[in-house]
Amino acid sequence: MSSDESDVASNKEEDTTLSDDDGSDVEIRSSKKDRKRKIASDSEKSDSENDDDDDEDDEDEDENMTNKKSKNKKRKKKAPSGRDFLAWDVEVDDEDEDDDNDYDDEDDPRMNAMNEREEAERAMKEMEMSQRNRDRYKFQNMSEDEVQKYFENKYKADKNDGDYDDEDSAMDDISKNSHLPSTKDPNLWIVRCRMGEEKLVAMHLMRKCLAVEHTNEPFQIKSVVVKEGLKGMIYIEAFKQSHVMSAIDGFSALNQFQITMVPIKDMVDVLRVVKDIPQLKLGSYVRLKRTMYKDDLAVVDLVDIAQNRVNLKLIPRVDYQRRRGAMRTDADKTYKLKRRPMPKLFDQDAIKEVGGEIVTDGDFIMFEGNHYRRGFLYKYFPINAVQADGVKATLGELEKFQESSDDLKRELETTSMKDTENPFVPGDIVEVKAGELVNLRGKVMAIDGTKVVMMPDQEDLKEAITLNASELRKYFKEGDHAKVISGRYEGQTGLIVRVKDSTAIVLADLGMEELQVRVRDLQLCADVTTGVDSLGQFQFHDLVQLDHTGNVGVIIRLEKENLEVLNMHGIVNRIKPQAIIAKKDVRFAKVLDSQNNSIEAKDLVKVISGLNIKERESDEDPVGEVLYAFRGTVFIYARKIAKNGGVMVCRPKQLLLQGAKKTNNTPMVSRMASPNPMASPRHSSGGMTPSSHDGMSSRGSTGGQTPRQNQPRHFGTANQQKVRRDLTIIGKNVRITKGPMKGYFGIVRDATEDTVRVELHAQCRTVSVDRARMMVVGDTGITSSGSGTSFYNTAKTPMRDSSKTPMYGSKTPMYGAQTPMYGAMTPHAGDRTPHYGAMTPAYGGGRTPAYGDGSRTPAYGSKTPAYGDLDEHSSARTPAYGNDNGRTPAYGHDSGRTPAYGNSENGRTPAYGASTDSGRTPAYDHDSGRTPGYESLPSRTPNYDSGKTPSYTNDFDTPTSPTYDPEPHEPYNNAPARTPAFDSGRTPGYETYDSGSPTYDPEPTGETEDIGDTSSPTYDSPPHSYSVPTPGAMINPATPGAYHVDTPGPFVAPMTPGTGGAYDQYVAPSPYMGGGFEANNFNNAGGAIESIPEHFLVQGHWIMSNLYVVIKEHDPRYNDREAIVQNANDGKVDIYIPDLKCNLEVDFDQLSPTRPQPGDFARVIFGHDGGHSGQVVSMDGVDALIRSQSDISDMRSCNIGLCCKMHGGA
Amino acid sequence: MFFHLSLDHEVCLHPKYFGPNLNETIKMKLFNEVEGTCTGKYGFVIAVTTIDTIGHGLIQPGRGFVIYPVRYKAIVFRPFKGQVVDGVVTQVNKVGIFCDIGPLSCFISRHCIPPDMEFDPNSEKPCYKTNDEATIIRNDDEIRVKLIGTRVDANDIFAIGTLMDDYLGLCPAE
Repeated sequence: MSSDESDVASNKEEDTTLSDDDGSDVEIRSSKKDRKRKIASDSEKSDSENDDDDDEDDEDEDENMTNKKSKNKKRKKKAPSGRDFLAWDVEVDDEDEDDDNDYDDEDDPRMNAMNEREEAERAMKEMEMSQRNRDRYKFQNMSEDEVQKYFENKYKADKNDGDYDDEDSAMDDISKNSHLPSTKDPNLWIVRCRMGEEKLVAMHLMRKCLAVEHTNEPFQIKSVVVKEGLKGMIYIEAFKQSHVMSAIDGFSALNQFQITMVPIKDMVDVLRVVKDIPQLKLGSYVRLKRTMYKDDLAVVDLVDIAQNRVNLKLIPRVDYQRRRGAMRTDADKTYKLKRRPMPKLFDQDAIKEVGGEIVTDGDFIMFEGNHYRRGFLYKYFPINAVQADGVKATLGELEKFQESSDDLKRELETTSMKDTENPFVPGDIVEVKAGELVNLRGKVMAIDGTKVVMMPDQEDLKEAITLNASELRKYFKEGDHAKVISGRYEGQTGLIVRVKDSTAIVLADLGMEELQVRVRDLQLCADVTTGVDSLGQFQFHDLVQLDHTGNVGVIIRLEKENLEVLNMHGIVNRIKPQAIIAKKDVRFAKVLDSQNNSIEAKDLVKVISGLNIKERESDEDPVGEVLYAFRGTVFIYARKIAKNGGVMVCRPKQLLLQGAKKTNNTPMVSRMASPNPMASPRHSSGGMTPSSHDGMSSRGSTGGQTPRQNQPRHFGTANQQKVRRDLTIIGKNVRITKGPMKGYFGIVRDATEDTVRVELHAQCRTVSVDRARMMVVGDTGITSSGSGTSFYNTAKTPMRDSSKTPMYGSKTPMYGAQTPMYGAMTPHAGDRTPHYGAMTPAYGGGRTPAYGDGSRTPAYGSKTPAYGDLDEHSSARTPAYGNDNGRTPAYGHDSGRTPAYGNSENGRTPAYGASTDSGRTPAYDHDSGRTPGYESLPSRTPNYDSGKTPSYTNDFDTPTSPTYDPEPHEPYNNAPARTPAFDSGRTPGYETYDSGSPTYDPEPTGETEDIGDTSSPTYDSPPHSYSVPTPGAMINPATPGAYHVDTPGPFVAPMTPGTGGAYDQYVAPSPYMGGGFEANNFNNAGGAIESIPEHFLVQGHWIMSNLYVVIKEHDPRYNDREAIVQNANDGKVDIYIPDLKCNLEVDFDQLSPTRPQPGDFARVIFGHDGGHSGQVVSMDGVDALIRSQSDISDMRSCNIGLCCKMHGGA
Repeated sequence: MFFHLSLDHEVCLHPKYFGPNLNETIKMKLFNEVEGTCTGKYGFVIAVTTIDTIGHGLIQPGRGFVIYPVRYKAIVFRPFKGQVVDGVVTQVNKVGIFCDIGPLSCFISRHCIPPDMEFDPNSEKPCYKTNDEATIIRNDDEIRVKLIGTRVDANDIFAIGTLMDDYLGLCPAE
């Protein structure tokens, strides 16, 4: 009558299905009927309670026929009477109570001792009968309606809960209780057993049971239970201890004398079967399988394995529509929820509005039996109602659970989410993680839904095996190169450093950092990619603008949705790409390091102080490459540094440039290096002068500063500019030859291979022009060295034209001080003066006086000397010097200037130092001196009357004085001359330069300061070098200067003059440059000098028919012949040579203009009067008075050097 | 692992070198261009041993340069997974150890360093050491490493190594 079972757990399910055959069960069932009814109520309606009887009968008949059984059961379930036999839907874990009763079910009923059985059945039937009778009797006294009402009432209440609320827990509780063993059930007895023989004994008992089954003394025990893992004891189920004793009699392995009974309340626990619970870790995400929260995401808050339940935190679905409590109406009573409420954080107010009562319980809020905290519902669910595998939460869902984004991050990393879909792809190396083949490795050959066909990596296994995806996991070895295919690091690749359980540590290819990644998120990656290096428009190591206040940062990591940006303050921010305002392009920016070396992107620097300094003495200073220099911040990339992917933020002063600079920077370097501090200035000035002029000119109209910047840029950076930019043409003067803009002149501001950006002279705008539609107007020879120069020419010209004053204005900042002075002095000069001022710094002195005089006069004065021998000049100038005192006064004025210096400081100051000194000093002299100078000048003035002259004059003068003597004369002279000009021009430029070229700084600074306080001191000292050169330059130049006078732009003038002898002198400047610059721009100086005039001439734009020209280079027999232009076409000119009476076709560059004589017709071919033509009425020194033929009142004084003789009156 | 391989290279020569020392120039140029470089396929070219042939130069149209195909033999160093090599520690930090194996730089993650060795950032030079200080790995030490992975880029090879195996780690001072 007893049955044995070795492993209860494994057979449990089966047991339950069979449970009703057993009489003992029936007994129990009867006591559970009421409760079970609920379940029944879920199913269809019942027919009548008679079914119960039928069922009973059926049971007996169908004991062995499981199929039928199940059918019956179904029927029973449907029975409205609810006296069904539970258990159908009973879950393993819910129903442990049944276990005790069930085990015997499995056995053939025949095996049960008849008497026992009969006994039990009888008892059961009696009980049932009595109960039924009770009911029957009850109903007997009722009418049909009453009966109906009775049932209605009886079930209605239940239905209410049935909706959604807790049907589970409530039901579970009830059903559980109903199954609990009672005193009427057999007891469990613990029998001590020899260790290890538990199962054996159980088998023996079973055999013995079979053997004695048909004897007089069949077993009276109900079952034997061996619990897996419980050693040294077995359980025997029986009504009495004596039954147990008799059954185990003769078993030596069992101890007859130590039989103890299990208390009824513990019986359940004895046989509680704990299903292998999916790993439910605290904080992991699960989904619910049932209830109103079906498919909702929940977080495991607490796992109660003993109770088989988990406490989940989830977003409640509370019906805020239904009224509760006092507010309930009849309508609400019948209210039925059609759809489940939307998940929403618990809202106390809303509940109160509908009359719900809320109670607090600790930090929980209780409502309708549920606990809420911070809006989340905390509730126990049976473990089997929870799906833990394959939960893939969407980001949106996860976000709802997060109280902070940090949480989210953490959770995302720790969350065990598994793809429901098959995570494998063919080619993956996988390992079997469970089952017989555990640890078998193989390669995935094919995927079929959740099945994976894999080829084992075993010699003996030659056939592919099909396995469930759930039985496999990906397998990686250390050293594999893998790609992260999902999660936070998605897209990154790296080498696997270590595999631990289900996570792998990956050394990212990018940035040398270690990522912790779940193995299933990895995929072998044969191709070596660099990981995520771009996200949308952003790339690794981009410099981006973070806000509108100028904060910038460098992207140090790209993730799937986020960027990590190291900002200027060394802080790493995680931001979304959308939060970035713009990418910054500061490739050309330069800053000065701790030793005033200029550093820019791509330079190698060493960090010698600050936060990023080496950590200990023994280390080497961190060395890195400059990624970006941005204002006061330098971003450095050092491979060896792991932090922040190797990117550091430093101040420029914490850095030291490593090694030598690229040749590009030589100019700067050389300056720095040059022993003679003055030299640098010169250079700058030399080089710059032209540029400055340009700058000025452009400024003239625009506003000085901008131009400045541009210019400096050209100068300083031009060579260094990047790749695709065509540097050779930037800064050149061009003329647009085709298209709607045809005929416009401009300066090339930027150029690529096929287009150029031209800043027009005539209009305040910059246009893009196809290169085929423009023509360079500068001289070709000069270009390299004198691109600036050419500019200047144009630039200056315009300047003058427009109004020198404006120019001055611009210049003023630098020279500013001077300008004012000049202004003061110059009154006459007025506009020009300022100009000059700027240019002059050196000149300054010179010019000033000139202005002072008649402004011009002085200039002339100075110039004159210049013209004369240098010595003369010197002498002439000397006086100026003599005026030194005068200068001082000038300086007084200077104060005015000083400020200017202040502005220009960096760039200019140096320049000043050099140029100023010599140049300025003189200038100053003039200033103070001016008076004197003026005085003297006055005489000259007359000559100059033409306003222009003065300016030039001044310029020259100044230089001259200092220079003079120094034979350096020409070159120097030029240089100085330029210097000044440059200075002014540069000043703006300097600023730029400053950043770029450290060298300047030092000098400038010093000067600047000086200037600031007292320009005089500074000047004085610097003068020497400058003075020398300047003067020299000036001197010669002076002459040119005179020419210049006409030429609007002083510089221009110089060049123009160049044409004549003046040019040569002009050329001088280049030499000067050479001195300073030498290596740099001015190498070409020599050539440039000659060509300076040439560049314009060579362009040939001046050539038009009827001009008299001189053939420069051609067949010897033509050389130096005068010819008349017949026709000019692209690059070719048809000329007629009167002497030889022949026609000839020559190139532009083979011609030079013929200088007109008084009475000749002439055309001004260069300078700001360019295009003016007429008869030369008279010559005034170097100026020709040209009267226009068309308008007799239009008389212009032009430098003879700028004119070309014309044929006839055309 | 070192190999002696026959390789090809093209030397591009400026016309100014066309003269009596042409061959020498080509060789020099070859040495300059090839030695010390790294190709993903063959690894680091350590040294050119012999020059087998210098082919006929081909003048590049429009440029005047001449390209000489050169076949040479060179010793190359190609690291392989699983190879055990000796290296010199160049950097020690909490993430791991960087070492140079000749031209190859190798990273040994902290996870690949035996757990009984701990990073000590406070010592004079940062180091990894065992508790009893029997073994200390710091800068400039020689260590024996097993390469567990290589990352081969077009012109560089990077390796990661491990010390978690028998006989790996600090090389006994000789």
